[in-house]
Amino acid sequence: MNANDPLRERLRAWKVEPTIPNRFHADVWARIREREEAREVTGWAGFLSWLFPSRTAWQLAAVTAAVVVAVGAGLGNINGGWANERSRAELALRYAQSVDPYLQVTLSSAK
Amino acid sequence: MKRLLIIVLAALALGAATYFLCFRMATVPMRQMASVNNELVWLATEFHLSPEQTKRVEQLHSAYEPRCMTMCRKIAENSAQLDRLITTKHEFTPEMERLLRDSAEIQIECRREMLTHIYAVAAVMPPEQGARYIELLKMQVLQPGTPHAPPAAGHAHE
Repeated sequence: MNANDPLRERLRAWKVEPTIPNRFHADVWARIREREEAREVTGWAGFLSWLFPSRTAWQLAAVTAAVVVAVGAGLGNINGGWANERSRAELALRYAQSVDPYLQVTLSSAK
Repeated sequence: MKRLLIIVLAALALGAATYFLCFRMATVPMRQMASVNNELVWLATEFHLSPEQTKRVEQLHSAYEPRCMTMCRKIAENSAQLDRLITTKHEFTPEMERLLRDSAEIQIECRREMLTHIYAVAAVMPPEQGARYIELLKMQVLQPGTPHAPPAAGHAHE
């Protein structure tokens, strides 16, 4: 190829100045979003998006879960405390039985 | 409707699981203690005894146990004899009188032994725990043979 080839000269002189439409970026993202929304969600993700279709539903579910966990934990701890108190009374009785011969006779004859 | 049902069931399951988990966790120490068939483990935990104090209490308990068994046997024999007499006789007899006196003697002996043992165990404990121990077993000496509820746990850990 000749260094003084006119094609080469013209290519060297050629300048491109593309103009980007105003909403180019926004349109691209809008199209991406549309494609993602159109894609069918399956499995757990699909089930969850069916169960909680909106952001509000998610928020309500989170609040409900927090309340349910708090109530469950509270009741569990309160009942656990009562159960511990009952066990403590039983253990105290077991000890008293080991010290009090009358109690030993009473409880062994009751069995 | 189906969606609501699933949400309600899931919430109930979550609540029940949390309740069960917290209940189990809260009762772990007491269940472990109850599973050990040794009342002295409870005593050591309840009254915050050191290993040395626990060992000393075990020694006292071992020394007291045969005396306690002897008293148990005396009580059982006396009660059985009295039971037999009450069933066979139809009036108060001198033998009944003797057995009742024996019964009173046995009760004095039992309460004396019990109180001596309780004071000996309390002396091993720190003073405030010893006082609490005496408080717990006081009713056992005053009314032997009757199960008495221990003082509240809140008081127990002051």
